Amino acid sequence: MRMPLTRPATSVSSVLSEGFIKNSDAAFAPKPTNPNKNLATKCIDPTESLLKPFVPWGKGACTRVRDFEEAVQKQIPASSIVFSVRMPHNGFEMSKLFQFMVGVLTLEIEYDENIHMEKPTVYLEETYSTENTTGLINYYLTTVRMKRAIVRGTNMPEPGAQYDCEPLSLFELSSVHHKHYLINIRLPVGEIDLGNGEKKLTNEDIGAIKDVNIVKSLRLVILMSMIGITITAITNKRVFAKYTTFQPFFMIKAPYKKKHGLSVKHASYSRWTIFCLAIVMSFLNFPLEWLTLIFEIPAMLLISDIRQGASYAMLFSFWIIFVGEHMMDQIERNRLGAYWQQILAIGTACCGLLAFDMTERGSQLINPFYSVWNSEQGAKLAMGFIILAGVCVFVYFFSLLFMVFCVFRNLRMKSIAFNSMPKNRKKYYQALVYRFRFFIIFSLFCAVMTIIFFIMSQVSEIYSWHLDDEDGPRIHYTSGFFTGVYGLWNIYVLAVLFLYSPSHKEEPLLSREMMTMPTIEFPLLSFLRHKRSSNAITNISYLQAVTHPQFLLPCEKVLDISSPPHTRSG
Amino acid sequence: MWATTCTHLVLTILFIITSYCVRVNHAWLSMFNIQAIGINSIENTETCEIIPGLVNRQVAICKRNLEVMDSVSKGASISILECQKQFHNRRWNCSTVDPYTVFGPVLDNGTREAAFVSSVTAAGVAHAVTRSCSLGELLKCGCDRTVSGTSPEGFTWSGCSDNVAYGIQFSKMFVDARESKSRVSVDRRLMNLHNNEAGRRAIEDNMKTECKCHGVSGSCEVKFCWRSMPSFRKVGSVLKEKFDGATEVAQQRISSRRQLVPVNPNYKPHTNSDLVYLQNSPDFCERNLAIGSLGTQNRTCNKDSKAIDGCELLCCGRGYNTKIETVSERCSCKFHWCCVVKCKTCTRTVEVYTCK
Repeated sequence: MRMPLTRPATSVSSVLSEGFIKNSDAAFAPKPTNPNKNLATKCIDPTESLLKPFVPWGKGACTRVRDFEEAVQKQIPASSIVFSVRMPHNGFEMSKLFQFMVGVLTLEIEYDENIHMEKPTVYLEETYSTENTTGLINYYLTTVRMKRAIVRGTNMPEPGAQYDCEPLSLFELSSVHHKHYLINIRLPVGEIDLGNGEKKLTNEDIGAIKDVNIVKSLRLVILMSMIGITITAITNKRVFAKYTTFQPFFMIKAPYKKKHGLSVKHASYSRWTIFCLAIVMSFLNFPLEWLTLIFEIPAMLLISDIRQGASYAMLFSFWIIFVGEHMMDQIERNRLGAYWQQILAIGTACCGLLAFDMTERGSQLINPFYSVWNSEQGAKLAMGFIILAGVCVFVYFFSLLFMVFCVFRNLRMKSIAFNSMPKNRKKYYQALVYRFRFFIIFSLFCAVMTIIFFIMSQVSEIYSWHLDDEDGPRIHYTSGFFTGVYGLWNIYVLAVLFLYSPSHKEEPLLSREMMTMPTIEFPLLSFLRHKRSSNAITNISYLQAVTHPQFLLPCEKVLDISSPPHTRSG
Repeated sequence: MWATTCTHLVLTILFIITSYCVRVNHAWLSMFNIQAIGINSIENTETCEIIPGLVNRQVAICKRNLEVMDSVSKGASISILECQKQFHNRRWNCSTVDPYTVFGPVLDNGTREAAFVSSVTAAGVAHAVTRSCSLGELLKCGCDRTVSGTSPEGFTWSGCSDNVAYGIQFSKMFVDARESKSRVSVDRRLMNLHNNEAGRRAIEDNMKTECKCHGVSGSCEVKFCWRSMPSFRKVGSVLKEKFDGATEVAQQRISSRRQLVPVNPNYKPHTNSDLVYLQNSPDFCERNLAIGSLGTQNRTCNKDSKAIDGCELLCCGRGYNTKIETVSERCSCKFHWCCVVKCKTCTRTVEVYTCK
């Protein structure tokens, strides 16, 4: 009899080899993010209202000052100065292939011994405009809001040195659809009406100096997700989409319906989960990003987040159900109710994160400068959601680990009984044990690789600049890791599809009832131990054993110290 | 009559020699104040020819890179200001003598001061050009080609980091253009080139990498980093430290290449970012315009300091005068982040010490 694993094994090896090629490709992919630093031009807005766009250079350039010394000479008040950045630089055009754009604001604040800055708060008024070849077409004046400029280093005794300022998140655009982007920022000084009748003095404490020169210039750091990553991801996704969209249908539906004539409702729960997982992964892999080449889709980041969240939720549910079905205890596991605690944890975490994401990214659809983190209440709420999700995930993983522990314990005990089993049944169980162990090891491997990739990409991003200085081919590790992890989990799901979709070409000797009743072996084991004879066992006798309460030994009860000794010994 | 003509002739010859010598060293720095020469902005090729102090090669570079020249002028200006800031309490305080020769003959010999000026000006040009690039004005340096360009992978869209590479390249091209073989002695040329490079390295070695996380819920799903230039004050301080630890060198021919090696063989050989000098500096105590020393007479000193800004050292032991002055200062100012400051005027009496 052929081992049921041979076919999946060859499939997995082919998938892994593809994964290897993919990862070596990824190492030569361009950088995933591409920061570009723009120094803001200081335009003059005598109306102090930001009612029209101020263009730093090119046609219709604004009146400007070269530095603040000039502004002092001309007696221009701080409120009249508009910091203007036009992206990209002169002579370039933004490409639609860029996936999204994130702006960060860094302030250059000069140290002055006479000025004490305590928790400086920057108050900004921002506008952004987009431009196509025909000229400026859109102009958005956004709501004013608060930001905190956290000054990190103050141990600089030398006047004129710069503070070490925390970069501030400025905006996030989910689609880069226009040729040019123009950002105008004003730092108004004086009393500002916050809208609800409350008035506040603004920009008084953002640092000061004897005469001039505190915010020397504003810098915008523009992060653009690289075109290359879009292309690499899109190509890779297409390949994977091909696999994951079609294969689940062949691999799951076909065997059930045609080969064995098994009715689908009798299929074990984990197989349905596998099927759902395949669908969710196909959805994740579907190259929706391509649509941004044609349409302007500001919600693209939100959609990708939701896709990602759905795939995580599905993967988590799959794990719990898969492990649950290998528990082989007396609990009826073939219904969703058996996993309600874990499902609840996953559900709560997902809902929390979705609520957070909808407020953050959803609001950015209207106002790209919006961030929950900018207001104190918003930050608290967001933190609340994240902590809630974190607690849920912790609870989930704890229970998952506990279940895995139980499964391994049961399997170990079962393997003692292997020798005394009939040959066919022994093979069936050995395969089951083998599959489960392989699954756990593979899952663990993927998790560890992800963690390693994550740490390495974080580290390499910092040091990649040093690598850039050297000549020779440049390998962008971050991008490699990024696509690498993405590929890894795709391979993981594929492997799961290959390994755990039904593949019993040769009908196992065990009956259908056996397959749908994963609880059977454990009582059987106890029964075997008790009787010390295996050959005489019939189907009826071990079914009886199942119903006999004294043979039940669920994992939970083993760990329950208070339970009476006779149930423990079985 | 004959004697007068003779004196005249000698003076003229002397003047020509001096002005030639001056031309040899940092005369292009006169660009720091082109307004003084009556130029507002370098906008056409004719302007390049009337800027005093440029050698032919620099004029050619100027004509080819008109849009960058205002930044070069700015670079000269910030480097002179930085020099004065770093040396304000030393005997030689980086005073500018006139708009044409800028520092006067003090830089004619290969002293530490000359080394510092070389390095700080090369750094100043690189700094100013890089800032202009970041403003997005310059067509030529919109994006840093070293990060993308003709990479073997063929990704030409890669993009824009801080454009320090262009700034440094331009500084190398423009500032080093003076040091052609025929113009100066070999050792001085080597010294200048070395110090120019050290100045530019002070920027490169102090580039700061800043990072920001970006991801759902503020997580660090994607971390992106960029490099930013150090402030010019920081560059100046680094170079001042290098000035204090500069190495005296002499030219030597090592396997058919002329190189600068430390005079004292016990010293550690200098690195590319260290400053080197050929001659010891004069003490700058007495006024001697021939060597560019203005003397320290009437300089304000600090009575309590034992360092170089203290009256003892700064006045070269000649003693100091004490004067009680009433100064009016701006005080309890209401600061905005820029430009307009509302202050009260306070008066207070201070003791001022000046060197005899």
